[in-house]
Amino acid sequence: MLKRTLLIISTVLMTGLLLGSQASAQSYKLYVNLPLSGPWSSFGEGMFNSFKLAIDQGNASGVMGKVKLEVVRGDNAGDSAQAASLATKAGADSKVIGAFCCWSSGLALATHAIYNRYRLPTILGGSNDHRSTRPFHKSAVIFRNSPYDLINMKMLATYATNYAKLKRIFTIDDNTAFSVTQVNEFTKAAVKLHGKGRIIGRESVQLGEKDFTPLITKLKTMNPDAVFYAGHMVEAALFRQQMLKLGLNVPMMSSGGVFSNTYIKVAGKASEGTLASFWGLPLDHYPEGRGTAFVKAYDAAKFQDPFESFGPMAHAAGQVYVQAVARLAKAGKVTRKALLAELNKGQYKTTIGDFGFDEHGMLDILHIGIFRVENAKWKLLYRTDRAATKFQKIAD
Amino acid sequence: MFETWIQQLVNGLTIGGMYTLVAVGFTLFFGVLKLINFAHGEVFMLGGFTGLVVAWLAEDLGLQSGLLIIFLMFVISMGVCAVIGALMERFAYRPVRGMPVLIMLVTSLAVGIVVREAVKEFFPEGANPHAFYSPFKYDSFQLGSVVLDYTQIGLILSSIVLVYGVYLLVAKTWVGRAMRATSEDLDAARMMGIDVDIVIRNTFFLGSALGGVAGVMNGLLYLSIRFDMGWVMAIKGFTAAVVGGLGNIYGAMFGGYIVAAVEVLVVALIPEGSRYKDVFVFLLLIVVLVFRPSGLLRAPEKKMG
Repeated sequence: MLKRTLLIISTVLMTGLLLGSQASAQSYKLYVNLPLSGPWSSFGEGMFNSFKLAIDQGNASGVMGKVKLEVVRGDNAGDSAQAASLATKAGADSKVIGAFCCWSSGLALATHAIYNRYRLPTILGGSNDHRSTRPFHKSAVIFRNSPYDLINMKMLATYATNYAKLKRIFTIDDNTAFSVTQVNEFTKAAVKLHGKGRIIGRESVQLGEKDFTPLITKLKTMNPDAVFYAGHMVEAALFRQQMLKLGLNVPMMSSGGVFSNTYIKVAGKASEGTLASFWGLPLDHYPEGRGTAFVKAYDAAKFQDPFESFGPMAHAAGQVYVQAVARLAKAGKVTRKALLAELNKGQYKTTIGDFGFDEHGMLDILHIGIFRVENAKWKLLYRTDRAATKFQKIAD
Repeated sequence: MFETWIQQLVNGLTIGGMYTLVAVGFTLFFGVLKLINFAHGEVFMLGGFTGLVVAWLAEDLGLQSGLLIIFLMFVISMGVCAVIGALMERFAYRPVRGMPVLIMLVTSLAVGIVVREAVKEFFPEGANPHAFYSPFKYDSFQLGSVVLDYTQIGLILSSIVLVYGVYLLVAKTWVGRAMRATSEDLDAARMMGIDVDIVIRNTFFLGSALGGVAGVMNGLLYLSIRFDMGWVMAIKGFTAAVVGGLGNIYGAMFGGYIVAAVEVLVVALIPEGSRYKDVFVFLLLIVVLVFRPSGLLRAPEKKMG
């Protein structure tokens, strides 16, 4: 009899404790919408891990009080239809208070209206196309923590024509929204600076293509003094190798789809001399050793995939959410609406620096540079200001 | 100008050789089983990854001879791909054999996705592209202003030799006769005492081994491999096989070179032509399917071989 009574009491107590603990912990979701499979998954995996790392660090620190954030892993496979489907799913789930999307510009363009329909605050990681954010559309829930192509293509065009003194540039896109816009904006900026003569032609390749020898053979007959390849890293690595093999030994310029250690690994020796305009800095350039601290934490978490070039920005996006939610938790109101208001007014201390978002949802600091591969490393040559007019020389 | 066209000819022969190696697999599977095996692209990808692992192991073991390492890469990749192809047949295609073609097609797509995602998830840094081993990495030579490298020559020659070898096997041996009989009428072949299960397994063994060769060759030529590289090659290989005539071994080679020729000519002759090169290739596919569905080289009544 005593045994049965004790059992009932302990069961009741345990149930009470369990229910109590559930009631005291408030859990909210952040929905990640990234290419975790398919051709861009190496970038996507690195970004997901980095974002999750920031959230895990936030949860472990207790800075959000009783609030816990859960990261939902959404794989858009680099496909806009799947990205739109995930955005809808995230929007319809009342437990989701924020989203992190998309790496690819095309996917950001395909999803912003959906996020806006559900009034779900969304931070874009990487998507460089200026049309991804306000004022180029009206979706007021979209924020970006990296600058856009209007700035970095202006910088690259200025560097190419004024600093590197290139006179015959051939441009190549890979038919993605990101790549086409990069070439468009680069061409506009170069023409504005020096007239039409500097851009001698344009071609398009396909993602997944491996053999560019017919195109490079054709390019050779046109005598370019540089090629701007605005595509993605694998194709760029092959393109560069085949350029050199066929004797087209002129500089290749590139952008965020190519700026990656994987590009150097895959292209090998051929990567030497490749130029890139990228919206980030070497990790040791971020303030107070935060970049190196991020690397240390990432390594300690033992993720299978490297964080790649967009990892620091993804980590910063996670930190923004943690700090914003911490403030909301203190005020006792964690909702999408409150989070949106907080993102619009708050200042955040992150891996890539301290920043807030301006009236168009763009971060108010600028990290953008021209890099060149030297001794199998991306070396920062120049930085610029927000208008991409003043160049700060970092190295020769 | 003349040398530019010679260079484009070399480029076309190289691309065509690669398509041929993949197209032969498609044509074998279709010939015997009426199966369009889109998972063949993933077998091609596995061939590349197996070759890379062999190269890593060989380097760990301290093997110095580049030619020996390449030989091992080919042999082991062929073996691994052949076994995987046979396993696919046994566990994925045999249960749906005899069902409508669409079911077999969807099965092959599903098998392809499983293989592709498995490599991505379980291979170290599987989502990332990997630099490929080659002792000839930066060795090219010039004839006039035409640039060639040893891998290109190897690819062009091996595609011709392998296609001829497969033709001999199918046309002149007992194994090939059984394959042709199975291709003609599966039930009649069974009634004649042919073990069609073994014939079909052998076909997958052979076709997948060729996929393995193509995968290694692709790595040696382009010096990088990635888990999702099979799909594009499958589409091109399939197109080549259809253009040449599904079920016709020489047709696969002919189709491979025709597809490559279209790609090269469109890029070389049309301003901004690289944008439209796949449009023209698939236009060719549509034209062939509409006006000569049995392929350019395949007489309507002819079957394998």
